[in-house]
Amino acid sequence: MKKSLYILLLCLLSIPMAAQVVYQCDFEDETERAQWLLNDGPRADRCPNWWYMGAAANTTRDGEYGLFISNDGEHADYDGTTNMYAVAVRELTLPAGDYTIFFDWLAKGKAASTEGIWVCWVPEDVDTYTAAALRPGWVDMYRLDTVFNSTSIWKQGKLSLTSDGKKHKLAFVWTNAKSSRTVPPSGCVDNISIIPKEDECPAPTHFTRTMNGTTMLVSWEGDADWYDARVYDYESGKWQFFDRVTLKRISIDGLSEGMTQIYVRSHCGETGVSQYELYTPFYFLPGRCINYLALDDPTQCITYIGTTGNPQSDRQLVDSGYNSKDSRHTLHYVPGETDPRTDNMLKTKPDDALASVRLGNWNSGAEAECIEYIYTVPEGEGSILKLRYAIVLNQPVPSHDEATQSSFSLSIEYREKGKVQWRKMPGGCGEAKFHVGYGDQTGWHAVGNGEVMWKEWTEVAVNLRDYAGMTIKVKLTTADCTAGGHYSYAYYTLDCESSELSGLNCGADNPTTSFTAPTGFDYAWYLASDPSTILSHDQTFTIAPMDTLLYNVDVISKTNDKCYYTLDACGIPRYPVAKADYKWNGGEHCENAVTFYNLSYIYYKNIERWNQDQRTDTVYTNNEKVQETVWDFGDGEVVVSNADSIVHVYPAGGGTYHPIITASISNGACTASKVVADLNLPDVSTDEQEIHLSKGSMYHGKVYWEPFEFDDISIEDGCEILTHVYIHETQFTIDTTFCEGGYFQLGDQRITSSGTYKANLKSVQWPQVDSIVTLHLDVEPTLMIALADTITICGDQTSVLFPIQVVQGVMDSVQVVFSNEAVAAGFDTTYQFGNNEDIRFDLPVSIEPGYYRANLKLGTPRCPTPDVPVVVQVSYPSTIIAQKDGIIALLNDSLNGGYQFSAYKWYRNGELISGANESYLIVGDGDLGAQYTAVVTRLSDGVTVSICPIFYDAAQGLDEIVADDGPWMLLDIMGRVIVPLTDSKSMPVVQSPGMYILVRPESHKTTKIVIR
Amino acid sequence: MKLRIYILSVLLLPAMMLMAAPRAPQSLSHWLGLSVTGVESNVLLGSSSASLVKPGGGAQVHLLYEMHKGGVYFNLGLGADYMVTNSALESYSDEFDRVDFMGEALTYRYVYSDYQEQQRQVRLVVPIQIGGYFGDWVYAGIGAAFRTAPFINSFTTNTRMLAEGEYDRFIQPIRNTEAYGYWPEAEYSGAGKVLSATYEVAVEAEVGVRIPLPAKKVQMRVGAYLGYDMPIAKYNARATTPLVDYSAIDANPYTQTWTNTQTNIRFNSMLDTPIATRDAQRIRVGVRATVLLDVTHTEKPCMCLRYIY
Repeated sequence: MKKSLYILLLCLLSIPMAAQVVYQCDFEDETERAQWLLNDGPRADRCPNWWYMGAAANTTRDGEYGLFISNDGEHADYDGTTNMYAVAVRELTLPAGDYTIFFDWLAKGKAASTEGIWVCWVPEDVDTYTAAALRPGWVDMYRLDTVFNSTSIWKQGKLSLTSDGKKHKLAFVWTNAKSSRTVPPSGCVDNISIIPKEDECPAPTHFTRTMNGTTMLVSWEGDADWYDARVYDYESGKWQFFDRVTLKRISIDGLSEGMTQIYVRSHCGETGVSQYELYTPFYFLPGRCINYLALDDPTQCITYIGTTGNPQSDRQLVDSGYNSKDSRHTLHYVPGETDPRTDNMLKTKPDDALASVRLGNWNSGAEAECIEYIYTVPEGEGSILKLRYAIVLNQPVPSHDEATQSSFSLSIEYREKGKVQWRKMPGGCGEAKFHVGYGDQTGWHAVGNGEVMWKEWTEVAVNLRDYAGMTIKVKLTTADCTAGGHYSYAYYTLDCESSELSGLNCGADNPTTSFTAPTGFDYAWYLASDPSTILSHDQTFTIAPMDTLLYNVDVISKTNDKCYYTLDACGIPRYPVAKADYKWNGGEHCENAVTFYNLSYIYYKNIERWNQDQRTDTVYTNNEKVQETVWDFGDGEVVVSNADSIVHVYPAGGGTYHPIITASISNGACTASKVVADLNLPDVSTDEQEIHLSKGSMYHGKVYWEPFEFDDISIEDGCEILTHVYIHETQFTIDTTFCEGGYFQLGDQRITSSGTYKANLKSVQWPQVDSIVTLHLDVEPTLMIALADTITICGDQTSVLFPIQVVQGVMDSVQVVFSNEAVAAGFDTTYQFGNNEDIRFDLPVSIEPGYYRANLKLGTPRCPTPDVPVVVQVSYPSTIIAQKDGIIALLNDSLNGGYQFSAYKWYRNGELISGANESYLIVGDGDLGAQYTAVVTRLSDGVTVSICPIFYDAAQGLDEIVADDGPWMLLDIMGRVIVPLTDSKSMPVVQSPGMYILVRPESHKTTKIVIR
Repeated sequence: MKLRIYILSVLLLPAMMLMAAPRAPQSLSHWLGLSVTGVESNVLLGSSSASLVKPGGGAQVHLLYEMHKGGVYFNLGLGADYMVTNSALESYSDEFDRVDFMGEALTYRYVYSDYQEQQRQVRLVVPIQIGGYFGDWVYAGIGAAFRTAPFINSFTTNTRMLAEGEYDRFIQPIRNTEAYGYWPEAEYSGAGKVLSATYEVAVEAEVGVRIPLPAKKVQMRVGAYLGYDMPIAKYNARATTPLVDYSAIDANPYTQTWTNTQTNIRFNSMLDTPIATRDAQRIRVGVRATVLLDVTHTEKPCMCLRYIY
């Protein structure tokens, strides 16, 4: 398929291209392949590496054939046992003139050598033999450019050549040096084309991409008439082709996550063509437990730069691309890319990872960088945070002590649900520092004489079992050596996995024979009855099929052996139990919505044949959750969900349904099913109303001549409305009530207010019949309340009061319903209040200041009232503001409940103070008694909330004056003596409000005192 | 750097002799000369990452006695050097534990920015040089110089400083509150003598061309010049010398004033403090012009005629 697609492309291209491409070769055509002379020469057999044409993995750009160097004919790898060069030659005779040759190429080789591909345009009479020798002179004489090497992804080469009209050889020469170390892939060539110079036109530039779901829209700039584009999905290995594109953009569907190579070339008229310009965008989808690649998303992570003294001094992202030395937080996603400072020995990402984050760069100068991720540990099954990292350090000097050495460090803090204080994990279990000379020293390698030390990709894991439901902050930091002479940076990936044992099977027919503990730890397996005898330190522990003894494994942190947790491992057969409960919504909103609750679990059954010695059958459960749950709702819809509850909406018309829950474990090896209930759901699709008419009236086009009652059904907004129609005698009375805004049509009158009305009505149809109608109408006013949109309270208050005033109408109850975010912060979902009750409820303890949305559902006797949205603004308590004489300042996080702020605005008596954007404010005597508050932006989540105000009063709350450093006297603000000079150590405070001056003449001290 | 200059010197000397000697007359001639050199000068403080070196400059005037034989010359001189060097700090601070007038403990900190220091020195210099001509116009020489301790030896400091108070309980240090002695940022300057300056030796190299002149007994050379100065004596008081001396400033929270601070702050030369981790070395690059007058005594031509007749 791929080949036929490409041939089709060539056919399409050949129509406009025939006039200008003088030579083209994609190695797919057998006749063309036969024109190439490979590895010719009498001593070519001494060369371990030859050119091949074929379909070896990763050696063709596209199609089935390409030209590649190999030591076995199958893989793009080479042997370094000798110096050698291998030559692939194609004889060509081009009309005299200047040409450009384009070709796709791939070659790695050692960065510091000339290993790679040379392209030569050689006169016919020059010998171009392959030999086990250093690069021959004719290569340097006739080469078109320098060597092509140092890439692990396909690139396009562009060279100029001049033809004198005589036959020449187009030669691709591979050279490699004698070396114990080789760096594959070896040279690969594909898709060669030669175009006259005059037919070139400018290539497209300035590529940009935007994502719409998984569709990538790529745009570029250029003045060409049209463009050809080819797109290579690096993860899937699939090509997409776009021909004769005139809009300077393409929309690419079906891309995999990762790197995409997009080649676009210009066409100017029917003859002009440019080289393919390469653009390599990268994209990824959310969904990882920690979205560690989303560096530019402040909801996912916060990036900092700073110095070794303060790695978080400046909150900003510094990313100029992975190739840039200036980048301090960037992504590396090119498959096979290696770090040149490690002599290309370190891959910049693990093979199985989509991308890695590089933190830091190879600039020295005591730089430091930091990234913080916020992650809520899921409830239920415990989880493991898995960090894979590789470090590159410049000349880590052994004489540096541990504190000043270049380093990469991990720090995890946690915050309990509803709390604001970040805490470190006990025992230092969330802390790890990696550097040369200290801690685990395995995996370090040196380049040269130690100019660069690098640590190979290493995995460590942190146990988060004890933090389920809590929020954790993962902080990664790189720091140069503090002396500033040596750089440091690190690559890392983050992942999560289960903290439980794997390998557990189920049932009697699938015995458990081995247990595998989570990766990234050290291990100690032992019998539960004999903890002193360690049976194994391996990650996987094997038992006999009939073994039902209870084993324990200590899963131990690699960075701190005091941090570990213990898992039980027992081969007793397990079975799933399907169990569920449900709740119907009562038909609200004409919907039959049912909430199902998953109560499934696992039980253990140690049946007789598994324990023949004691012959005891035991059954027990420890409330483990099942692996997977399938819901068959009985109406044709089936859903797989492991959530604790799930809502399903049945048809409003009701009916009988038999929902079934199926629970399974061990990847479906054991399952259990159960009918949740026989649901008999009522018809909830109908609403009711009444209409009163006199006989002879028309209803829906029909005249009714006799008193009569009937029901009519209509549908509005998806709800059926049942109308009870009453046809009355000619004289009758109607007593009815309407809500304000409605009306009663009495003959020609539209009545909207309460009262008694009479009317003489005539039927509209012959014979017109008179009827006297008496209407007693009671119009109930719509409920109106007075309540501010935002209720502001201080974080140290104990309760919230909604000061609701009823302006009109009748209110008989209030329901305060909080949003999910507010409930997560600690509010109850609903607070219910009766008539004449204060709308007051407790403020959750330790709630984080912020904005919490709620809806007020107002209960009325008859007339429905729309919900009233309201926001509860929880401000920081005024206790986080301290004041000194002349200074008002915020307390820091050690005293203010753990908050850190990134921005400040101060207000005086409600007015913004221009330029006051620090954490403190300088005030003067003229400000005494003024009200001050600040609006602060929280560093962790960017939420901006005010602080409850204070009054500037440098000496509040005096009970007595204590002066133990000599005589003193008290003056009022006018200088009048209130307390004469005295040696008294203390004296009760004066009672009159005002400002006073405490003077201590001996020490020349004065203190202002304000009595309020 | 020093090692490279030594190696270059050793290699250049025999090379110059071999290349220059055979191409010129072998008779010995004597010259008196004056050389004037303009240089850019950079002081090297050591490995401290906190300090920055900024370019300075200077001039050297030397009287020379020079001997020529073949294409080789040797000279010995006496002269004076005037050298201006500059150093800077991107940021610097000193902090002290104090108590404010309300009795609260704090860290009092002087914070400096744009810290600039200029050193000026005048020395006597005794240079020697050996060199040779290559062809008619190109010459090169290497040499050494003994440089006396400077008899003019001063520095000036210019910087901006503010004082702030950091409290354990507040988020940021408090600034611009004069009642507490937290002075706003202002310019400060000082001057003094560089104590660590001592006598030096220098290695020097010069390469250039001879300028054609109509008079045969006068030569002029213009060339590029490189010198590397190394102090001989070691300065030992550096470890205890603070960059800024606050001892004369009033630290009493009830009486301190900005004027007192401005008046009594004392600056020491960066070269005399631990910021310089070694005695300052200096590298000079510039252009040297030398004028030589042939003072060789020769017999008069008429004496030859007398013997003929």
